[in-house]
Amino acid sequence: MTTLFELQLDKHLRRKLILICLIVAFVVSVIYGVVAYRLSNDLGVDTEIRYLEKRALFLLAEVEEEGDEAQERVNELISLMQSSELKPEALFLNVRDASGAWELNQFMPQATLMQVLSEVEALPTSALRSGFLSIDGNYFLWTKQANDDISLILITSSHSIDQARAHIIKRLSISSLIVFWIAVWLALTLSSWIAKRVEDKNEALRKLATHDNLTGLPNRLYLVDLIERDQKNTEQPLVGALLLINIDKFKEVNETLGHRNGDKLLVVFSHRLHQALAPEQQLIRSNGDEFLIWAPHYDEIQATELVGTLTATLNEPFLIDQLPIHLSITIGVALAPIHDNDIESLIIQTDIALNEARKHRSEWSIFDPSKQLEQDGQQTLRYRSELADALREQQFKLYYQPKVDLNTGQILSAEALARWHHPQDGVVPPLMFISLIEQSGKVREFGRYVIRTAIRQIDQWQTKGIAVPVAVNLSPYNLLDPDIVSFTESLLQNFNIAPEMLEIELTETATSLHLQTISKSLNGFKEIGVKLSIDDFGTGMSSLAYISSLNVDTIKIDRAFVCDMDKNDSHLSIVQTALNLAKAFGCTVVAEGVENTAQAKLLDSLGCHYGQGYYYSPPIPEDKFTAMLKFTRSLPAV
Amino acid sequence: MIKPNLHPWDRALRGIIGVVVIAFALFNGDFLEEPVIEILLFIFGALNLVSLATGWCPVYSIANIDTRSK
Repeated sequence: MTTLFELQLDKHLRRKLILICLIVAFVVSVIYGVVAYRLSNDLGVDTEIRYLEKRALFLLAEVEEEGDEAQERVNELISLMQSSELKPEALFLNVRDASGAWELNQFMPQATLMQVLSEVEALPTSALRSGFLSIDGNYFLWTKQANDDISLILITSSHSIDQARAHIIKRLSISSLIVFWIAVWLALTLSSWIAKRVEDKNEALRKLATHDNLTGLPNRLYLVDLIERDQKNTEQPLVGALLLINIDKFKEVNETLGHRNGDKLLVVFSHRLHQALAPEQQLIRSNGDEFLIWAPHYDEIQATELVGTLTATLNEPFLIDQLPIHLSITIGVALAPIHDNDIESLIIQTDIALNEARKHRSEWSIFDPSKQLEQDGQQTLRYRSELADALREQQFKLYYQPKVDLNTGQILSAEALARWHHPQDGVVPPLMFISLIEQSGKVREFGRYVIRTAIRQIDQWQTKGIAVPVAVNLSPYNLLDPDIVSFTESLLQNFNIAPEMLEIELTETATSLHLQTISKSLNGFKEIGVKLSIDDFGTGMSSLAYISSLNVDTIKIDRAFVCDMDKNDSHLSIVQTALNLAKAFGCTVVAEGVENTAQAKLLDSLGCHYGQGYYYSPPIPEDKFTAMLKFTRSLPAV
Repeated sequence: MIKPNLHPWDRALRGIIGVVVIAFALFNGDFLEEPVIEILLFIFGALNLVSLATGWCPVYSIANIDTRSK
């Protein structure tokens, strides 16, 4: 799973930037070399042609002036011109006047001359009067000049163009090398500067998102991400103690001393708290007057000792503006994995423990699962009253957990799990609200909302080119909705989604209790092509005949059997039996709650090829899941 | 504070390049006939010799590159 920390830094950013800048440097050097070469070459050729034209015009004037003596005079002049050259050039002159035509050829082979002449003659009369030709690696310049009666063609070979080109190439190659060297220098400097700036900004953003401004302490988001990252790295279940510390009556302190001093007090308080902790313990500012401490690998005894140390430290007065202020605190403690192995649930449990301590006027309390029901009672009333608003405001979000091929690590499908993004309580797990919804009369609305959201999500993924089937959990009450099948069918048709992309998951308990009444809907789903699966298999008391008659596509073995099957032989036997049963029914099996490599390997060796669990990924929000599908389609394989 | 960031091979290569380039800039006769290029080559060679002497490359330093064996 991609964590918040990994999202902040693109590890290859610097390399990519350096590579891009080097390519740009190379391209700039090449462009510079090519353009400079062509420019110099064109200038050289142009100068040569202008010089030839002047010579031709000069000869033309001589021919005109000398009349019959012209040929002799021109011969003399050309001999004079040739004598000034180190190496006499090949030259051809053709003159036509009223009395006829005569030619002069010096050192120009006849075959070459014919080739040059044919190319010059081939040019249309309106074309250039002078030009440059390359024949068999030799360069020739030609010009045609004429006045009223006389026309003249002068062709010469050119050695100076070769010399000029050699000179240009020599200088250009060295100066291109220097340009490239400077460009590389600039590229490295610039790319490093940009990468540093981006990293600094990312770090600042990360700090802003995960830290509290007042105390500089990390926030709850940081803790959740830290724990998820640790679990991902170590592949170990979560072990440790979570403490929630609340400053009693802080509101009164704030009102008495003023908010400025209240803030000062919070800073001093957090500072003292921080000093009392060991380096491996993580202090978090949860909200206003609440702080969380995560003490990894702490058991109940160590947590109790830590509570003692903290209460002793924090009961000492705090000095604000020379005024000693005594604070009383209350602490709630929850332990992983005894109470839960999910950090979000642990946070809720510390809250329950804190309320319990307050109720008993005690300084601290450890979470007692039996008290949760009592707490739930109060919370239930509140949640029940907030359900309608939550549904209207779409506070329920679908999280997605991948189902993975154990052999390849490939994500085959996803299970959609509802989470309540409560405006005050944060993310509320389904255990806290599903039964409320079932009892509230909102169950049909909620079921349809879940199906609609899942289908819309499948559609969004499809438009991005990702085809991932999604399973939704439905309550048996949803299946009592007579129109649920037609509702689903029309949605699938509207979004143009194949029915097998949707899967309905039902708990075994639900199916066994309500099979008679829900069979119509189940058959309806099967008829339109939607897949069916039994969730939490092994926990209900259903008869095999019931299961057989359901004709499901998938059986999901409950996490209770999977999580300790490597230590518990009876659970291992149940898993084996479920696998045999599935084979007999001709359906696939998915193991829930896979938490480590050993379990994945064991399942694979038993013949169960599909798994789901925290080993691969916890349920994650849509955006993170989409990123996972795009960038890490393969999770750890066996 | 100069912290060396060049592997001995990198350092030696720069030394060779530095000597060759400076020698070329000074003794190329009529080959280049361009003082600007000669001066630039001389600077390039001299910087390479500085890297040879100190084991430190300023551009590597800015780009956070280190070729020494870890």
